[in-house]
Amino acid sequence: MLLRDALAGLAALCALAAPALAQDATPQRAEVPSSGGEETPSEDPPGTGVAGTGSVEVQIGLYQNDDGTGDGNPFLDEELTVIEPVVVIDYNVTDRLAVGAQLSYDYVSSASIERLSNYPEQSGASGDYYYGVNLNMRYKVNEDVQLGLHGGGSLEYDYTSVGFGGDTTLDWNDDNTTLKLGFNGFFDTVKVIRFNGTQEGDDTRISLTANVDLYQILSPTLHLSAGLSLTHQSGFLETAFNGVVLEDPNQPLVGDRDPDAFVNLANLPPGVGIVAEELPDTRIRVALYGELRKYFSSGTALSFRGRFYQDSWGIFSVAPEVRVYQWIVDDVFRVRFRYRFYLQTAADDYSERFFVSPSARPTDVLDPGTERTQDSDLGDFTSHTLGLKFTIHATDSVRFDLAGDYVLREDGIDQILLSAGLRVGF
Amino acid sequence: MRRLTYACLLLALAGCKTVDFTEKRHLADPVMQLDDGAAETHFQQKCTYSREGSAGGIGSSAGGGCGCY
Repeated sequence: MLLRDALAGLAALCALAAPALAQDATPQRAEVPSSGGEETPSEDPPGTGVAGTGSVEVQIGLYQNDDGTGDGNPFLDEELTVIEPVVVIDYNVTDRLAVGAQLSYDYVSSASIERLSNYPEQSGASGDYYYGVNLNMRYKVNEDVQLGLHGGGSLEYDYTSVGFGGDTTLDWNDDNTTLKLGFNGFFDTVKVIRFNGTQEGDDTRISLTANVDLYQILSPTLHLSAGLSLTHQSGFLETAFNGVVLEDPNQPLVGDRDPDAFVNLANLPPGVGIVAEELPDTRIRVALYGELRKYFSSGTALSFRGRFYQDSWGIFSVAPEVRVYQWIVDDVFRVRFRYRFYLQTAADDYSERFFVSPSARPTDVLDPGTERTQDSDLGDFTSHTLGLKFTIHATDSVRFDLAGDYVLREDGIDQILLSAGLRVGF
Repeated sequence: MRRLTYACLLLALAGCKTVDFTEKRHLADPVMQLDDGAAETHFQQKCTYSREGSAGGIGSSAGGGCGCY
């Protein structure tokens, strides 16, 4: 019912926007942008270019979030810094065939890792690196049909992932309408290291996603994209090192719950016990998303985005976003401003606090038999994101980007994202 | 509600006029690109969205990773 309502809302949006009149019609050939679903990887999809041309993009990103006392997950100090360089290469082998590669690396510095070195008995499962590679190819069957394939993998200390996918893109209505059908499968292996350092060997997680994306030109200055994503996940879906703090109902903790109080498992506060996080072994996730963007003659573009989400764990979210794009110096310097609101309801198994008397607690803390999580990312919260991005087109083929986002999160886990990028076409 | 949905869809499709390629200059303007680019998308998904319980979880990049630092 919820998705049906959301679909009706998007359709109504389309209906309102459709009759917009054409303006500034200029006789110049233009490529139709690809459909912009949430899984669409590139703003300049290969497979439509001239043989021998391509691009290289290099970006370095910095992610930081602090964690005040008692913010977010009470069990974990979630302070985190990630530095991530990404390299994206696209190359048109022929006029019909294009190939691409994406390489990424994360350097991770987090409180959980520092705790790992301080308290080996409470091994945090996160390592301090992430390597990812993704290879893709795109083949233009004819003027209206494209096929895409991609595959790759990633490697972390406790996590490996192999994935592949494919898509078909169909254009019609004089390239005014594009339909993209996609499929992705990820086969992950988790090294299960529990909150108390117990290693339980490897477990698996399988994620299968089907996407339908629609791109529609509504007028010479107005277009939209909309999509539906359906994901089925199965296997080990918990965060291996997450623990759940159980309090004695007759002796509840008072005041802020400092994660440091739960580090030394042999000296926990009175009445406190810790058990492993336990969550269902399957999860079905549905997301509906769309964007409507309008160009104004002042070199301004206004964008409205939205995303609705529902999953079988009971999480519902809505994320409207507005963006303003503005050329400051025509064809040379432009700015993007974004504001995103995010609202999420909690998973059914989430609670900020659990009260279980010591006599009713499981004997095996790693197999508690009851689904519980205290992971604040699965709790209810709202957030506000403000972002600014500057882009300089130094030449026709060289572009610089500088972007920054600040995420103000209701539960105190605020985040900062900074990135700088260089893209060179050849 | 279902009838309303179908009605809206029909209305939407009926309202879409065909735009000739000679009229698409503004749609091809960089400020009208609907995609953020592979590098930015990857970074956003890996960091911010992994902190949200409703994140796509998978992303276009190989190996969503556990997203749990």
